[in-house]
Amino acid sequence: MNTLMILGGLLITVAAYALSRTLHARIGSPFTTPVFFSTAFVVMVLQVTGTPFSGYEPSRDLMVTLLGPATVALAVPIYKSRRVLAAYAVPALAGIGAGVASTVLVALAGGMALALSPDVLLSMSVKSVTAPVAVELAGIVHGNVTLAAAFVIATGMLGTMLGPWLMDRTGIRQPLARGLALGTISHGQGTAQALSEGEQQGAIAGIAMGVAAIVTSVALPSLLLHVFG
Amino acid sequence: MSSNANTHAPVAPEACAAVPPSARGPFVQADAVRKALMVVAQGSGLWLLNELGFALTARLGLALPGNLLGMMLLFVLLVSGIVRLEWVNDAATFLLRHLAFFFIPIAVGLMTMGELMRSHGVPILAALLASAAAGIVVSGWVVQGLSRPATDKTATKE
Repeated sequence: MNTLMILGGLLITVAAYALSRTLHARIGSPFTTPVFFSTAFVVMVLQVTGTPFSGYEPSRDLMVTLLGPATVALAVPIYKSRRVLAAYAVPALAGIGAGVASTVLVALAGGMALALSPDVLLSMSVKSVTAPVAVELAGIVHGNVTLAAAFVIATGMLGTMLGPWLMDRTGIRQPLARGLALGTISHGQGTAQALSEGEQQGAIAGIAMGVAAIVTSVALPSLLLHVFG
Repeated sequence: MSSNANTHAPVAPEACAAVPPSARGPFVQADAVRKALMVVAQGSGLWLLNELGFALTARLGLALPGNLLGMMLLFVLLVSGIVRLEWVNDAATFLLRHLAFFFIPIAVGLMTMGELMRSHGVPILAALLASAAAGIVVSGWVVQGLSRPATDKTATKE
């Protein structure tokens, strides 16, 4: 019975994902992107069959455990382009550090000014980190894991849609700088966007995504301790 | 050593992924099965490193995501040559190509948060937007400012 539920949740999610990939290849629209479309699809199935979220939770937990190996796998693209990082170590690390610091501080300050609750703020503080790490980090800083994941995905979309336009307006033209900024702030989706600008941009974006995750994970818990006491 | 030399390209073709409709012929399947087994075997290695990362952070009391420590371990193992790229490349490529899949079950949890989104959706979006814009401009400017003289050193690639 319980096993059947888990299997069902798994099957529906895989089916939704496969469908969204086929659909997205035919109709490239923000509404057919795998995460958006599949999530809507799964939610709809749960609603129609009258399944509460708690019925889906065991399958979710199973799938989320696979995020661990996926995060470990991020070492591979970093390893492949390690020479790029070595050649630009100083500007790259400075840029990633400054980007992480400014995005976290603006999120916290802006969120406080807009009177968002501490729970939302804590979840928001991890949002520029690649999702598998953000989910773990959200737990460490006592944020809400689901909210954090949603913010991560929203940040990926915002940065990808807005980033290139914004960098054109602010005079950021150097390929290295563009790729690094996209990867630092918009993680995986930003890296995909950077890759579409060029291979060099994509490589540095992939590195920036990984390094930003390390920098944020190391610095954020103590920073939040200062802000929230 | 191993026979998977075709996977070195950064963006591998749609060979092993989620069985595209065009690849359902009986002759393609033997190769697909071999490839799938390879991904599972290599994936178990990645999973072990992940577990090791979590065990180490717990043992040492580090406020660091265990999977991130696992990633750093794999990087060190690759750089030091203890682990060879082809031992993990197939699984890594597969998992990273389908990374989006794992966010679906997490995002489904949003169905329990309709209330928060209705009452605070606009300020949340405003804060996210301002934060993303600030981070992109600041990191872009810092990199460009610090590295203007250098230009094309990055041509070398694995």
